[in-house]
Amino acid sequence: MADWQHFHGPLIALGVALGLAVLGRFLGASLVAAAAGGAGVLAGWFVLTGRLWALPPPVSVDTLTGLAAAALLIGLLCAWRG
Amino acid sequence: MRASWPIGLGVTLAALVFARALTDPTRLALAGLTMAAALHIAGTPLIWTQLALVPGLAALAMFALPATAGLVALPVAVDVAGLASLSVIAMGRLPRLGLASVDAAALSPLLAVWLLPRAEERLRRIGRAAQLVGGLLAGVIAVGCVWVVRQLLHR
Repeated sequence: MADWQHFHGPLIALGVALGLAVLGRFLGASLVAAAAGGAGVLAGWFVLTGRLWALPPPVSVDTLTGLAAAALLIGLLCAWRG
Repeated sequence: MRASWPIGLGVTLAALVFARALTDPTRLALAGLTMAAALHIAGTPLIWTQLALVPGLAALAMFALPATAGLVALPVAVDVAGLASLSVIAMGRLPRLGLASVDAAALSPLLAVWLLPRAEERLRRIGRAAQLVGGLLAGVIAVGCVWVVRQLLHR
């Protein structure tokens, strides 16, 4: 069980992306489908980088959540504009 | 600030290359999972493997999408590029024109995606499983290259 807790970030990413993908499929909402992958990564990285970082690296991985948010917004904008 | 512009240029270039190469869930999943395994082989802390698994598993979920256009894959492709760039900046030697196993791990997704169609072509005779087996083979070869680089650098 403890081993699985190490991987809750990737599993949350899988759950969020799968949920949005299925929702987009059933609702026929292209924006929801377009957000699936990006939102999954955003959720997974938010969960992982929210932890205490015991050995701080020269570049903080905290920036990854912001990057995922920016990438998701750009992807959604591109999908919306066609 | 002056010293950081080549890094910014490199990150932008990486984002463009990854966005061009990772256009569907198969390539996205292959890239994410290959980078996770490669970072583990390169000896990075566990958090980096977990961070790389996130886009890999999110891409697996994207197989449930009705019809995937290239733009749907764009956010995850940029995320993979960002993670690869960050791992190189934090632990690699590429910004100082050197090579560490982490640098090879960051480049391994591109190698795997480049190998994918070639592996599929060779395995066409096994039928519908060619894409899956070809992806596995491409990922294993890319991760194997990282292992070889690590062994050579540790000599």
